[in-house]
Amino acid sequence: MISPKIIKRQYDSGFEADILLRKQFNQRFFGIIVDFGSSDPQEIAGSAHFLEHKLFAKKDGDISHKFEELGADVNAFTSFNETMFYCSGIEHNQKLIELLFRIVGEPYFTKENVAKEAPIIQQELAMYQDDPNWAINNTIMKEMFATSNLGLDVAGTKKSIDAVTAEKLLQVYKENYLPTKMHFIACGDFSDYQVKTIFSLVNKLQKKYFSTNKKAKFDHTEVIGQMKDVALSSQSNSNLFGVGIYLKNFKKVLSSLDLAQTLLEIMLESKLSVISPWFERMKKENLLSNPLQISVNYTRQGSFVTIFGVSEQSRRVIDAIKEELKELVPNRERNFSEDFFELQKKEWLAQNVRSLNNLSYLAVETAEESLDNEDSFANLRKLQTMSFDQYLEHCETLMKDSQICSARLKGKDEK
Amino acid sequence: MLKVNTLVKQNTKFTTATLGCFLRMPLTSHNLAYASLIAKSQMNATIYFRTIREQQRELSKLYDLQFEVTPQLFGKQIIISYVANFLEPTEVLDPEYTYEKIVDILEKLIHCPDVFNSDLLELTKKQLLSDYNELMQQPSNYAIERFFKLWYKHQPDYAENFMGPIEEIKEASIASAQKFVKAMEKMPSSVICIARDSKQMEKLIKDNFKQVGVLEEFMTNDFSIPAEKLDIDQVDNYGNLQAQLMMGYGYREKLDYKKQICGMVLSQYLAGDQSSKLFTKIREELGAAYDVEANNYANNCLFLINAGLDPDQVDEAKAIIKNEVKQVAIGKIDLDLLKKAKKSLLNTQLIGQDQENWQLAQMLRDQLFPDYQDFDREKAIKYVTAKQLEKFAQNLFFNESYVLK
Repeated sequence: MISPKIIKRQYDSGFEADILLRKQFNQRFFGIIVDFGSSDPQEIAGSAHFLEHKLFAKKDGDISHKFEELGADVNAFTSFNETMFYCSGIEHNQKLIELLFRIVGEPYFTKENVAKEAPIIQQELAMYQDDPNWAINNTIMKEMFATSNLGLDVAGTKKSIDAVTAEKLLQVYKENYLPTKMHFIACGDFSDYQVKTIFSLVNKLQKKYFSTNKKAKFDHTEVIGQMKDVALSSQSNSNLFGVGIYLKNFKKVLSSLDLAQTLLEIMLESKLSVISPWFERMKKENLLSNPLQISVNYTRQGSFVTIFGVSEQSRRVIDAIKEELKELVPNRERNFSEDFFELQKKEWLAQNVRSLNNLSYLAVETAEESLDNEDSFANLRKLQTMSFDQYLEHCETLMKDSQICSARLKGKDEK
Repeated sequence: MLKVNTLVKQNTKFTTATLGCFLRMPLTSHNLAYASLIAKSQMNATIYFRTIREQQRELSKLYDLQFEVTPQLFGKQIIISYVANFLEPTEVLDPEYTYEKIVDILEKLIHCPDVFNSDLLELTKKQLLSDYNELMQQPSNYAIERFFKLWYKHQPDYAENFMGPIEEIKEASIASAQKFVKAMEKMPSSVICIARDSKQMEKLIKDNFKQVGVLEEFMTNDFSIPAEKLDIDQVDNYGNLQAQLMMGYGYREKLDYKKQICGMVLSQYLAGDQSSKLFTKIREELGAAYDVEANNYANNCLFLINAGLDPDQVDEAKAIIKNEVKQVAIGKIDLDLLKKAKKSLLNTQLIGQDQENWQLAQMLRDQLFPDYQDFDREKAIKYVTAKQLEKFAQNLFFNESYVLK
């Protein structure tokens, strides 16, 4: 397997740019990622997400229309520690890059346009809140991280959305949209000449829009919730449940947080996935029939695992998960775990090879990795040479002193 | 000479190869229920790999081979699609990992469902019931289900939109599953593949996929379900934070490919992106929605517009939708927006070529629809005129409004 070719530049302001080459692809993807998201410090929860929406407003109207005139798509997303603006098209590279820098570099917030956006974001939040998944996820995030920004929805709350003003948005923008916190990415089939022109254009635009030499600040304060087991009353007939694990001791493995995340995901899959002995028992006892969704996340404000599943007897399944995680690899399961670890090495290799076929995914992942100084292809090589005992040792360290909470919807007999 | 339904294209771009085996059968609620059951069961286990654990382990050993089985609806037809995506062997250079081995295992997974194992059947039923229950808790899914149940209230065989009648799935037995699988063996099928060594793959497919169905006529003209005049206006109240609005326009006749493209352009013009008519009016001006969608279901003779809305603004949104469709029908078309919509669709076609699944779907269409292979989609999009759009909208009749609050 060959790693994709990435050409990197860093400018005097601290702004960075990457061009990732994928030959023969028609799509051209451009993005700017900002090292600031919903769980980072902001006076009003949801400001990062509101900012993401409102940066599309310009004096001459909604800038997305200009992308569409060029036949391109434009969008953005906000995650816990990042906000990303991106577009994708076939031609007009230069114009697309110029427009993308205008989105991020030219705030235009007015009382009117902020007031107009609030009900749209309220509808976005309502769309999620009608889904039982939201209630479960929201509860375990609050149990893990209380009402800190990490414990709340990325969009904030109904109340916080209404409290956002143009002045407050501008303040958040000025504090966080700094050249040292930003990264440009281009991905596609570019000639050597195009690579040269893209870098030169990016240099010109970053100078134009991001001239401040204000230093970036990062906050790593963790606020921990009550870590309770919560049963929610619900009108729905859903049997969803969720488990949250707060990882007190999550840290880099072989200089990489991504690798630590991968190792823990492998460990949890080996314990709880459909091919684990545990799942076999759950199936026999009629407690589970569908696989669990497991995910490990790290943020500046805390690292955690979420496990989601569906069961008519969710309380018993939650207890069984807690019991199973007490001992990572009991002697009786060592052979299975070792075999599973070797298979997972193949799976992660496959995942990296597959990622090369999806330009948008590849570009977003690469941009995120660049912000965090990560390299998925280097991590893959580290994983391939890791022994089972080393893996086990790392996982035990990462899981040390972790705490578990849960949320479930009350069963029919409890309602 | 017998015609074998296979189509293999050379992969010059991707690090993975894709193989799809597609099986066609008429849409009835019974067929859909059993197709869902067998599809799910085959994703769990098969005769050669009798437990989830064994089957998953085998797929992991093949560098996480992705194997998906899903029934897809094409108007009056169900296509059971078996799609495998796997690393090109030249990416890993593992002597144990070859096209021969992959095709051999895929053939076993596809052709050998385990319909003798009552534990597997019961597990699969439980999974489907649980999936269905959770799907229906999401208002947008529930609204789609209700919309189609009303739209096809006089044609119950077409009314199921997710997995067929849940009661029929609950009552399925080993004997009824075996009967269905026996019938599946004779259904027309086609095997399609995109792989680097297309010649070797073509040979392997011909050697391994020898079921009767690949010799049957896979192509058909019998997809379209003309819309029946209904005039439905229904509101269900469940106390949700957001209302789901579904507005269905029907047309009486089957559309040729050019008219289908017109429908696609109209959906893009009305709700394709942020400058589209309904997005601008309902989201930007009214502030009532986060998203608005429009889709032309050509095989169902249905043009559907839907949105998640502030419950207090449903009537205003309905009026806007009706008015915008009417504006197109009377020829008041924003030509700049039409140009943008066409440009966007053309780019979507080109970007689609960067995705294996999109290419596979196009190859399936070539096999399934008569003369589709000769139809130039890009050219058709380019040449859609305002007049054609106007005519398309004139043929639409407002048929159903369903609101879930």
